[in-house]
Amino acid sequence: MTRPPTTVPRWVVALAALGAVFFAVPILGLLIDAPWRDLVSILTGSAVLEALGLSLVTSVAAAVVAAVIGVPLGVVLARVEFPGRRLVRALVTLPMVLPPVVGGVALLLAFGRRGVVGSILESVTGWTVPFTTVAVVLAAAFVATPFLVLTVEGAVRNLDGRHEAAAATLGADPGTVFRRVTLPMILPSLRAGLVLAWARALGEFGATVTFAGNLPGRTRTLPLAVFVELDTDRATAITMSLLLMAVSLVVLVSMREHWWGRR
Amino acid sequence: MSLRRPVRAVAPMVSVAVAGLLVGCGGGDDELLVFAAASVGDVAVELAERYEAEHPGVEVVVTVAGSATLREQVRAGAPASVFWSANADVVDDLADGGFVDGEATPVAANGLVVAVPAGNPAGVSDLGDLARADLTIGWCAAGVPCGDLARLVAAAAELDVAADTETSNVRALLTQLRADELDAALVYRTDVVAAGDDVVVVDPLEGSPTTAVTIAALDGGPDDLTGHRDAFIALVAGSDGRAVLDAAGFGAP
Repeated sequence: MTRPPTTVPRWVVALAALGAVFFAVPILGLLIDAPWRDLVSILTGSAVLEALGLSLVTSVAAAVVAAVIGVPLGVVLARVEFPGRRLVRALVTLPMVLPPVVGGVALLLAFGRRGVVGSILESVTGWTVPFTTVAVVLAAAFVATPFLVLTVEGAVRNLDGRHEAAAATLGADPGTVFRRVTLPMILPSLRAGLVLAWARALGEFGATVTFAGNLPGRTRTLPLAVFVELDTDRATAITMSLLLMAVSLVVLVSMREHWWGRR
Repeated sequence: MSLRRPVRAVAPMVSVAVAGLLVGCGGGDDELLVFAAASVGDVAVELAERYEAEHPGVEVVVTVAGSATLREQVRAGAPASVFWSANADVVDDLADGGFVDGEATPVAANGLVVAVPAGNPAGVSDLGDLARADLTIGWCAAGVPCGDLARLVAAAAELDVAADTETSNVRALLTQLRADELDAALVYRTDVVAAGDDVVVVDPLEGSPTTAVTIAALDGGPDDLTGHRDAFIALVAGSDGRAVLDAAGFGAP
């Protein structure tokens, strides 16, 4: 779609430039302070690799959880009229605006061993969730899933339903229509939402440290390791920050088209 | 503005910004910024209030966080005048970096205990139980004072602690004990005093290594406040400070 060129007032451009600088300067700070000479040796150190490995495993697991519950949520919110739909939508997207540490407290009150669900779980199975890798995945899924829900809901809403109606007319049952028509049509958005949810899970800190604790190899993901190393080893903290930033940047650049629409 | 309560730091950078704001937007009063370790936070706030009562026109702003977190903030240029650390090592680090003005003063001794939630639901009996993998155990991370001390204590007892979480300041452990999410934790004796009835000691660890709570004057604070800075340190190191520290359970330096 081409539009006629429009002129932007100079002061808007000036403020936009200021905005760009505001975002660029902190990144510049990281780049300037980065221990470039020792970068490789720090990155391949056991503490960094351990945190990186845990981060990758838990963020991918959280993305899977997000897909399993987030896609159906998005579809239902877009397609099914039911009382309290707005409430459910607000509930599901609340973690996007909630301070993550509050999410962590809430998770603890629910799934902690004195929590509503956690106490039942403990008395039945003897197993407690907090301070485990599972807790890391739950915390990450809690904050990340809303991104997928909103993306999928938006995509399904934008479908006009003609293709699905056609498929149904040709004898496809609802399950087949969903799998063979709806899902393929929202695939680009689905992919974008998944990547975004995964990136959010990778960067999760507040809910994790509150709900899952902080133990190397079990619950200390990269963001938690950055937090710990800031107090003890700045060079490692900055290196890990760079790593997280690089991953996030790659993700954002690779999905730019889906998120902002094609141009 | 009046901000007498401690500013609890979650992220170091945020509280550097907060500290900057507090100093930047001070109204008529002079604001003396005191960085206090988590374990001495309550005591620092109490003595700050006493100092303010005795010196109208001065506001003592206490920022409470883990000693190592505060050290990094000072290194990053936080304009604090007083640094009150849970151990001497952190102050030594700052002295090595040229941030400390004059000599640091040890003001108290503190030791760790094995603490459990009220009622001791897991039936923890002593330090040796911290090796049990079936218990949920917390201690401080290595590199922060309570974590380094905890590792000294464990090494002295030849104990392999089966920790389930590591925190960057000791009060976070206390919160988790209170919530009954931990079966036991290694915290300062004084933390248990501060926690009241929610947390109890099962092993006082008599004779195990202790740490020297240390206070120091910093170079980075406002120059016109050095008089108040030194007077506040004198209050902490003097008989008034001793009495407050005693009441909180701190030992003699």
